[in-house]
Amino acid sequence: MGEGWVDVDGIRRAVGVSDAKPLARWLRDDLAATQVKVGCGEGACGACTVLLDGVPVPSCLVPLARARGRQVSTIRAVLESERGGRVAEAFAARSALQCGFCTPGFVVTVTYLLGRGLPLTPGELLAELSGHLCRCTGYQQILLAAADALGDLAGGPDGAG
Amino acid sequence: MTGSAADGPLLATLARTAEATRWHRPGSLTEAAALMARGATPVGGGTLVMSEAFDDVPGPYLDLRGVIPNGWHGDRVGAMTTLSALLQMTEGRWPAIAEAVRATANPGVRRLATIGGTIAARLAGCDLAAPLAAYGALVISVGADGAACETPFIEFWCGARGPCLITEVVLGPPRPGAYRRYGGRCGPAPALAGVAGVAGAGGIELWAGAVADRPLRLTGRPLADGDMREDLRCSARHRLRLVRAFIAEVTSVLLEYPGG
Repeated sequence: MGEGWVDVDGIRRAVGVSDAKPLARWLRDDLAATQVKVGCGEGACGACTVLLDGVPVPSCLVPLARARGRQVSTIRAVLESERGGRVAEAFAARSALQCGFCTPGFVVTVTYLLGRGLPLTPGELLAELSGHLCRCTGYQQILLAAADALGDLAGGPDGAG
Repeated sequence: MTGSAADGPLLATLARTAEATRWHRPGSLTEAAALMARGATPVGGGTLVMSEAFDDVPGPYLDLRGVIPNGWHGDRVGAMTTLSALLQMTEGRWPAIAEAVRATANPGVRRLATIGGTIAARLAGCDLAAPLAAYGALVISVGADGAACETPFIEFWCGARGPCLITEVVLGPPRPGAYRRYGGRCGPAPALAGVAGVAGAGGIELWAGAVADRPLRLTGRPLADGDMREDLRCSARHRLRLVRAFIAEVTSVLLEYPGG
């Protein structure tokens, strides 16, 4: 009693009631899911972003116990989806990465935005990605790639896309 | 395999460690209140518990999902409402609150953090405090004895209180409002100073946030350096300058409303 599970990229994993560690640490240390990067550990950089029940969140701020009974999709599962593949291709085409550490987080969030289907002005796209930091400062190409991937959803009236 | 007498202290230590990291999932508010009375830490969104930016929060922990409501309940907002949902709920009708939510952290954190957790944490740089005070919000809470209590937000924030669970928040009547803040840099950062204004029949209600250990009511009150807190990120004098600039800006925004 009290034990539970977390579905990670389609595989059900058991967790206990004393699992106070952050989801990001559990994914990396216990499941060797090193595609989840950990940067700041306080929700500011977005490198550890995963989809929790389909919504992008910084996994460094999710206590593992709070993920019990929920679906976690890392960049691995996201890339296997049609939308995730489209976003990854846009990032590759725009050379929107240097060291690549921040890329999984960006791709997860942009894939979510694509699936959400709401039109975004450039200002709104910037705000949506404000939880992601690129220390190589490749923001220009990242924003162009995100706008390419979002297609008609991006590039609304408040400026150039 | 059997344990020896020498294993006793070790097993006791292990048991204490396991309890200290345990996550309780109460089935009711009464059970949650009882666990809290026994020392469990209530967890709303969990962002403060996990963040390395804050001190370790002692366990055991109390997972409030399913016990505390979220979304609208009549004119009340459930305390487990995420800031992301709160933004959608307040846009247009409580503009000062919506602007403060939009200034809080980043979209990913706002999808986890809750209004109840944000109020309970009472962080100095909190953006929500000033607009909630300006709208005259009420906090509904349950004490460790299970008794419900309705407290004006500003009293709840400022008052010494025993352990309690915030269950709902009444935002106050929807009115034209505005919020301006400065965090020291472009992008998500805790507020150094913020001013919320709400237009009502009696004029504009102005409150400053993040400048002291509590939101400060500004309406009809001269300001001085001594009112402002000083820390490594910002001097009291600079905070005062920011507040004065924001008062002018918020007031001018509200005067542009029809009937302002």
